[in-house]
Amino acid sequence: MSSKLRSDHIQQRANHVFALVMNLPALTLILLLIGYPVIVSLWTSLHRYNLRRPDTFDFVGLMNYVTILTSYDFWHSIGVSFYFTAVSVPLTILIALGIALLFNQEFIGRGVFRALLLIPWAVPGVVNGLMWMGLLGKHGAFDTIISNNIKLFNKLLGTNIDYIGMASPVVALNAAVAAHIWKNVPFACIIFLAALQGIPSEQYRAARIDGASTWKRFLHLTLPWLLHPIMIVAILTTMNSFRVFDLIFALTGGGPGDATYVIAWQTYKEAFGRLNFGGANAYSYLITIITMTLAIVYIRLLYRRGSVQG
Amino acid sequence: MVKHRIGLYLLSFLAMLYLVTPFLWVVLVSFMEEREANQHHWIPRQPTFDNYWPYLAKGSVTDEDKTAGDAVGGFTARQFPRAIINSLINASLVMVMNLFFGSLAAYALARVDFSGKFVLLLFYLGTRSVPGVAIMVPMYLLIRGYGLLDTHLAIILAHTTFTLPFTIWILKGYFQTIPIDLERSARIDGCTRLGALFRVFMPVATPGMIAVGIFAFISSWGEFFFALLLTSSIGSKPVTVLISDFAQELQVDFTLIAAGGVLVVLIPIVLAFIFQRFIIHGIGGAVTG
Repeated sequence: MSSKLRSDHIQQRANHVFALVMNLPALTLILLLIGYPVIVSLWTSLHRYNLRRPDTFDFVGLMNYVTILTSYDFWHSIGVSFYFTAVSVPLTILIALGIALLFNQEFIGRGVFRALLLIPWAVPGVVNGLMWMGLLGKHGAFDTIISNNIKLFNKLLGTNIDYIGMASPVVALNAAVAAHIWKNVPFACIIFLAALQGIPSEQYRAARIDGASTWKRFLHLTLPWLLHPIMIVAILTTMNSFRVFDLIFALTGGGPGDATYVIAWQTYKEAFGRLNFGGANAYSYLITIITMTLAIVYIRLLYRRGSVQG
Repeated sequence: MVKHRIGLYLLSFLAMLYLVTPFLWVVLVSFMEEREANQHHWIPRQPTFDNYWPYLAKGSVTDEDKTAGDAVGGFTARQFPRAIINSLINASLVMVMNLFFGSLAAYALARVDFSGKFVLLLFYLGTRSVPGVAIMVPMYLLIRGYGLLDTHLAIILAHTTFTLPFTIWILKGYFQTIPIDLERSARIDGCTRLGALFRVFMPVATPGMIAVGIFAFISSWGEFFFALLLTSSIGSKPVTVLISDFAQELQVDFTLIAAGGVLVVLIPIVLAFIFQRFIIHGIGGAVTG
């Protein structure tokens, strides 16, 4: 008996050592390149530190945070990022869900459609930005379509809407949103497709025998099954929306004016435009807090739903 | 029923238009003269390869002797082959490191019972939610401190670190779908733990490994932020950073940019097509599983 206990104990210890050793390379890398910078970032955010005067590193407490939280720049970029996220996340989910439901049907050529689905995903963010710059720039395909339609609209209704393309703040910001959605739809779709394939087909058969309509089957069978994956996609796309940078860099450069100054762009400008490293780190911390809070909210929702679902 | 079929094809066609049209236009424009591109039609009437020649031009690619004779954007275009090689090196090594480190960690998380497992999983998930921009300054100073600025290693380390949590998460999910009896019987036959892992387990786990490998490769290939931060010369600049120069240079013909865009996207798209099944099953299945 006691020898069995002891051997269990040894086994447990061996498990611990094994697990630790196996995780060591990944842990070391992540602790070094994410963990350490996160701590240094906090420390730096409490100091006055500008690369123009690299010898000054004065402890200023929360002053950087106070400066930021009372600045126009911060609240403006927060507003832009929230708009960006609030529009792109639901639309990404809706479009991806629609496409997943379609491509989950059985029809000839489905394989080709599914392959084409991966195109936007494979396009790097910078190229995506340049692409939409072309599409919506002068002589671009979408620019032509939009201005022709507005001309037609003006003629028909006698209105006088002036379309100035990407020079308009409203157009530029929504163009960035549209480009971001286009690129993020495939990943969401992949997750939904996998989830749809997991639905046991007997349940559908039973529902059909019971005479449930297509809509009812979707509402009572498909949708509850998809709640968990929808939540996962919501978390991932929210994080992606809050950190969007490459697209803004290539598409608008933050402009026109500061219309597309998302929070990541604002932070980047603070650090490498103004060389205000102390302030930039305070920005960094605020972003981290915001994304983490959102993630926690989502995860709590996820688990509450999960327990209902069983 | 027939009506249902027609509706299905119609909607699928619309979905495909949405997914394909933007990039298709770029491809078509890349085969047009600038004059033709300004005439707003889609199909090139006189297809030309002219936009691609600057990318294949021979000449110096170092920053010092920027020749004045180049057309606008020509110097950037000339550096492309070198940048593509840089991206290939980075993405391949990021893939290898992800597979190696990731599978070790994921195997332990999927197979071994140990206290702190849950905390470790939360830790990996948590690091995924740290935005790159939030740690750019210390990361930059750290890399500079080790004298690694403007090297391949800097990018490979940064990209590996940021893709690893996702890789571990996906692989753990995938590994758990593999029956444990496989390794049990191998262990009974006298295999060591690591022996069972590499000889029996890994071959079965190959589809999942391919999925995350391709995923890591394409993530690294397309990553821009850290690449921009950590590189400055063509010796290490990946292709995303190089093509972003077109956003800064004024008056570059869009036809030339379009050809560059096609060249950048070529490799990831071919990979995505070839491994389509693995990606959709491997990634999707593990996330929802």
